[in-house]
Amino acid sequence: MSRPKYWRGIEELEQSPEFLAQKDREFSTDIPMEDALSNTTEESLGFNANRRDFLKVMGFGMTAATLSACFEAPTKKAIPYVKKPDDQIPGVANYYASTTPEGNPVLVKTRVGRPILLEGNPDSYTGRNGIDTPGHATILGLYDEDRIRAPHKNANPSDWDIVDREIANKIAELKQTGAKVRVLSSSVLSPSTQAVIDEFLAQFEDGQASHVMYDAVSTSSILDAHEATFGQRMLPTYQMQKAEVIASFACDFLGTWIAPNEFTWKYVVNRDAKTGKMSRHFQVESMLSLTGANADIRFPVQPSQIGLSLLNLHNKVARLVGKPTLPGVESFNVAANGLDKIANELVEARGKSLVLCGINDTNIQQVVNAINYMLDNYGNTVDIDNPGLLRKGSDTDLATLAAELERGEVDGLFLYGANPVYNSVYSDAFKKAIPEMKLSVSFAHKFDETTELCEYVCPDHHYLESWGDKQQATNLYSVVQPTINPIFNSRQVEDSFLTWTGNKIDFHDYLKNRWFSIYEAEQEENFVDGQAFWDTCLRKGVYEKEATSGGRFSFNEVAILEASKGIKGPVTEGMEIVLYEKVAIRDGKYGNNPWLHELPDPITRVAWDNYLVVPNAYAKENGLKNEDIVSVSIEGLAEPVELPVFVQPGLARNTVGVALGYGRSKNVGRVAKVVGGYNAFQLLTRNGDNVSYRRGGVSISKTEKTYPLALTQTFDTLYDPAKGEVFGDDYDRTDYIIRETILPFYNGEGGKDNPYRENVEKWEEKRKHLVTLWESHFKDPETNRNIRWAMVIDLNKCTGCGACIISCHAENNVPVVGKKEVRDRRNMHWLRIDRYYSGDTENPDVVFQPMMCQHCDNAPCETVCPVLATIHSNEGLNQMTYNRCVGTRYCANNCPYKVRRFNWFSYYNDELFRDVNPYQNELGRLVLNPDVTVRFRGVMEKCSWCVQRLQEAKLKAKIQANSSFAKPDDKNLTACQSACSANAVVFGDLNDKNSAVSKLFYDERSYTVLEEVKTLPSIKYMTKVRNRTVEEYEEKEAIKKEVQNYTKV
Amino acid sequence: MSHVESPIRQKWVTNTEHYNKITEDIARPIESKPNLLWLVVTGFSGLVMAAGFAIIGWTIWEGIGTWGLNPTVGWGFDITNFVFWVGIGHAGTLISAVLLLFRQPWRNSINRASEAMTIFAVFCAGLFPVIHMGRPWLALWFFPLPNTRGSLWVNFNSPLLWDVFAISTYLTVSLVFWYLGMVPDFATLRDRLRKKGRKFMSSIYGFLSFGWDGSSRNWSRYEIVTWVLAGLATPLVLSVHTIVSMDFATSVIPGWHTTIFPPYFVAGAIFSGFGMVQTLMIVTRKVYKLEDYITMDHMESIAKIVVATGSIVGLAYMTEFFVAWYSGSLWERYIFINRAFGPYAWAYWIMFSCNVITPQLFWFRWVRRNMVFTFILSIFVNIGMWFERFVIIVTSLHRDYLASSWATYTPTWVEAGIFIGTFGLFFFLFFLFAKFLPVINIFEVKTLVRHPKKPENLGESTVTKAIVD
Repeated sequence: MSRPKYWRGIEELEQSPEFLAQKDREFSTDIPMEDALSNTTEESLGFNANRRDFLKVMGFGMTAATLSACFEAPTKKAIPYVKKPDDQIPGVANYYASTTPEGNPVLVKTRVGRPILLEGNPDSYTGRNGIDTPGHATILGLYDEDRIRAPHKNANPSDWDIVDREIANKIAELKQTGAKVRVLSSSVLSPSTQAVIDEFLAQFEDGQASHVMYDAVSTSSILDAHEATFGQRMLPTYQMQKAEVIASFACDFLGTWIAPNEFTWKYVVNRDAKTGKMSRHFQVESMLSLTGANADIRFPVQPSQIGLSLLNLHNKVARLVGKPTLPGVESFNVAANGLDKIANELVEARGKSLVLCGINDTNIQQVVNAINYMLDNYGNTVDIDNPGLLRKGSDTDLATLAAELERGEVDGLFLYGANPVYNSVYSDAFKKAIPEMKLSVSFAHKFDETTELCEYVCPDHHYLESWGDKQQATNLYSVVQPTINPIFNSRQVEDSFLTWTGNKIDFHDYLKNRWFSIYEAEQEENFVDGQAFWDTCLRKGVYEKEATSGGRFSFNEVAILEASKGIKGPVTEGMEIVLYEKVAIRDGKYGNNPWLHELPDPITRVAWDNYLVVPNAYAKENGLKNEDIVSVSIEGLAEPVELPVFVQPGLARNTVGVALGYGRSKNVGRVAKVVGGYNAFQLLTRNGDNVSYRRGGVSISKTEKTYPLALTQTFDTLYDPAKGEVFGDDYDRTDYIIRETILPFYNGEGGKDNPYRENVEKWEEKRKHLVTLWESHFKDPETNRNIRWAMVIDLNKCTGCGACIISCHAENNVPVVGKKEVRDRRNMHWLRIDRYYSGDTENPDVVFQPMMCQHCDNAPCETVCPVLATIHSNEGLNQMTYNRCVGTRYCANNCPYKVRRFNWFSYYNDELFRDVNPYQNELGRLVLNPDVTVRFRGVMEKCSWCVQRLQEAKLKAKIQANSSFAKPDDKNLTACQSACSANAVVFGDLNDKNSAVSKLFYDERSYTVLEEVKTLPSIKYMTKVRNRTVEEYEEKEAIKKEVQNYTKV
Repeated sequence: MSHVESPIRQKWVTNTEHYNKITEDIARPIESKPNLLWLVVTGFSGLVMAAGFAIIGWTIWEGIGTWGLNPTVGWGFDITNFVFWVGIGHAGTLISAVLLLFRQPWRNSINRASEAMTIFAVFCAGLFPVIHMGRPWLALWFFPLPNTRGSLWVNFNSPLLWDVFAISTYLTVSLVFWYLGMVPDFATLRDRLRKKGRKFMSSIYGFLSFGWDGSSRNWSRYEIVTWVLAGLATPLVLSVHTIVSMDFATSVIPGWHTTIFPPYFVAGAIFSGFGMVQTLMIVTRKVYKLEDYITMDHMESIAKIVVATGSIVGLAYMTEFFVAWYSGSLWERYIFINRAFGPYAWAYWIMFSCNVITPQLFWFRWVRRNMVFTFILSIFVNIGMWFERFVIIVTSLHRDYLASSWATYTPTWVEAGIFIGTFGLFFFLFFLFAKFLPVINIFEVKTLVRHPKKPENLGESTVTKAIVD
């Protein structure tokens, strides 16, 4: 058999001549090499390149390639460690101890070298339970795009060398001329910084240079009053935890006054109804403050009557304890016999009572001192043996400086943490004087109102980039340590001063040396040497000594007589205005911080603005409603001020208020620019040297204009009396949401008429009939080795401060949405604090209720999601899977608690949110928690109970115990829990019978919100217990009835 | 003739002596050139539709934030419009399937247009569940498709998923039923157009007619399939809106969580559907001069159904109030009081007067037979039924359990634009239908003619043949 002959084509088969001619050639046509290499283009076949062109092109190409290779390509620093630093484990956070500028000891959580979250330092005395609301947000300030990025001269970027040289020359010049040099700062809490400043000033001649401290919201009068009565200028340390009766006069110590987080935990220690250790808290105030909202008994009085109230209280107390009364005191009382009641109870709790006053008036504060002295509170609840050092500002010093400025005597001014053009009563003097000075230096982070005018700007590091220390009280020290390399070309203020002093030492070493000297001075025996002492303090973050006691101070009785004469009587005519601080914005220092602006005020529930709060009665009489613009003219003010109105229950008669901290300069930053508002510091007045935050002679006229306010909660009461008529009185459904009682009822007094016991029985009876379809959700805790997460929130402890919301913001990458969206009720907070009023609008009772995902066992959201994007974990969490969510919003509709939040827009890249959402710029994105996804548009989100933290804690516990059933410690599991200074949030494993949460979960005071809906939430709330007597309760109930009857008609 | 009819049997076709007139009348608009009026209205509705789609595009580009919703009121115009359009669809199926099974011969004149209305309304309705999603490009995840995304599956507990099945089944069956009914008419058009020499059109209708030849075998099969499909479609009339109502009824929100919803929604759907049938038929019979086929008696019958279902709906409204009071649930009581007297009271009273009060005028014979009145009342029904859905959805959500979250809902231009756009879509499709497809079932109407005469010009043709013509 022959092999077949294969052929490829007919040509081959036929062996045509063309085929034969072609078959041995490799290419069907010749390659035109000859043409290409010839010089004549015409001859070439179809293309015009000749040898010369080829060489030219090749030459150009090679040169270009070489040149472009010479430039440094932009590098993105996302390179994994080739050699990993020992302390960096990707995915594991490092914690460093530091201290906020307000003196709160914190732990800074860092991930891969960037700080992302702040928590209170549990080892510290003041910050053991958490830090204050704005403190949590300071971490965002580190990544503020609008920070000053380099030293500036005359508003132009400059160089440290140039700036240093010029400033040194000018200092030399100032030394020669002998002109006055001043360092103006807010209270300097750091002893080392103080030493540096003192050293800097020492290079000038005697009397030429000095350091002036003032605080934007001044408490100078307290220090001055102690100087007058005790002979030493100091701020006492207040011990609310020892007080059984607290009488606070216009003092918002839970919200804004001096150290709210410290006072919060001290206060809450004594608010435990179960142990019966429950203080009685009276609040006499003009505004409705956060503290007033938490008080047991609150008396609204006009601002000008507070001094008089204290004088009367003084005399009543004096009579009771048998001390001389003050002569010539006009008789005055709050609410018939309020002051008598306060006086009686204070005296009864002698030595365990506390009188506080937030009015910045030295005379009034002296009277407060006198009352506390008569009550033997000094040495008990008011500690002057270990005075606080959080406030040092002096109104007198500032007044002196202003006078010097007026006279043009000051030629050198260094501004550190001070913004007098914006927030001092002498704004105009500074505005005029600064540009004319020989040398004006600001250390600000931002181009604020004063810095704009300064010749030199030497930007300070953010505190998270700095070394330093703080001293909260004479016995409490803490350390500031950097947690990130300086982001910008800034320099620590201490280093600047040291440079200009001619001291070559680095501030870090300077600081260490000082701590070595503390070591030596204190003779600490537990450490081998100064270095060991320093290392330990640095790791722990604090150095705290036992409080000393037994110091003798003599009380100056004569001063009081003088002071009492200086207190002005009540303004009988006209309206008065109070300039108050908001819990988040405070004095406006963090005016560029969107987290703080987005946080609704706990009382008004308005975000992003300041406004004129007006009492309800006045608003009704004058036809004012929310968002109307009114023109406010004030005696002694050239131009009337136009402000939007917010009608606020609980204000004293004839009292209006406006918040400080708004109306910042446009240069402060993009957020400050969109916020706007009115700068109420312009309304400051002087009372002697004291800066006064209240003013009389106010008249208000309505204009036709309106201004939108971003209200987050518009309906405050469930009881709608106008419609209650139709269905009768039991129309009130508040019982299903809020429960409160009074201490005697809780303790079982009142017999058959005890509504609380009745209620408890009623609910217990109802519970018996509850059945479930989902038995499998409720495994027997005896045999179940799984965790079942649960939370208990104690309404008695929650003060409503909102620190948890900011902490949640940081932990969970919650987007900021800006005023318009908040106004449309689309704020994205996973956790909100609902505020409800009860009673009359003159003096309502207030309840705060933190509301977040309830992680229901029978979750209504879970059954309705068509794509299973929200499901139940076997640990009781209601989990949201962003990737799976298609955004039908059915789950949100079906949520009885309305805690689900929908991503209406692409908050992370939509132009609309460019200014307000920090996550839109590269710097701001650094604050994002890498453990939490940034959610996409069209996706539902909600509280996850910080599942990432739970997971981390579980893994840690399992590794440590080497057991897959190990359970984590129930401390600091969720961000809100760790942020709560009041310890109102208890979280943990319900299956663990010994856990704090399982004890409280089945406490008789615990209830679930909307129990009737049968969602079986994993969060329980604990009934609020007010420390009121049965008579007071009945009085209040009568008012409530009256209100209902009144509004029904 | 071929069959004997009782002289007292109601005359559903007037002024028609032979079958050919019917064919001529109904085929005329298809065979003639489009007139100016048709071009204008079709063009206009097309523009509205295009604008609507552009706005939908904007929504998808920018996000649901362009709507007026908030976390409290998570559904507004979107689901209102969805339920509204689904409801409208119901009349078509009721007419074509249920009335067929109940042997109501008058349905023969209106079933084609009603079914078309059903299908177009379901198109409009189907848009909303897709575009109301935050991420509509993932709409695929609504279907239980085997996938590579782990073990991800749909949630069979969710009423929204039931909706997907209900609506898609409904659309499929309606479409098949509608199409099948047109096959003999396509054959008629095919033959007529071929005779007139319009080969292209003839070939299209020829393709659509599936080679229908009018044989007894064809007719026999046709009849069987029609009855089977009618049997299949009848439960759908009840099931679709029942399931839509379960979107609300299975929730925990007071005002939604109501067992009366399934029958109430079905009655409401039929009510709204017949309202829309009235609106469309009054215009169609006038413009196309089809008064002989869609007679005053037809319109009267429809009006009777409207007043009947309207009264059922009214009863449901009152029952809701009674149950809210009787239940003793304060939330339930509040939500209904709030509905009637709260911030959205105006919407409630529009709903109540349009759905319960004005349709009562149909008790009067002269109103039922007055087309101007009927037209106005039918528009009221449409408005009222749209508001019914709005009231149920928005007023229940805006003040549910926690007073702290109470909010109001104001729709934006985007939502209004999308809603108007769906009307553009609906009418655009309806006008195309009216031009290119026989708006009345030619052969079924012929069965209603009493004693048809042999037309002179047709020569030898038989009755059977005439039917096919």
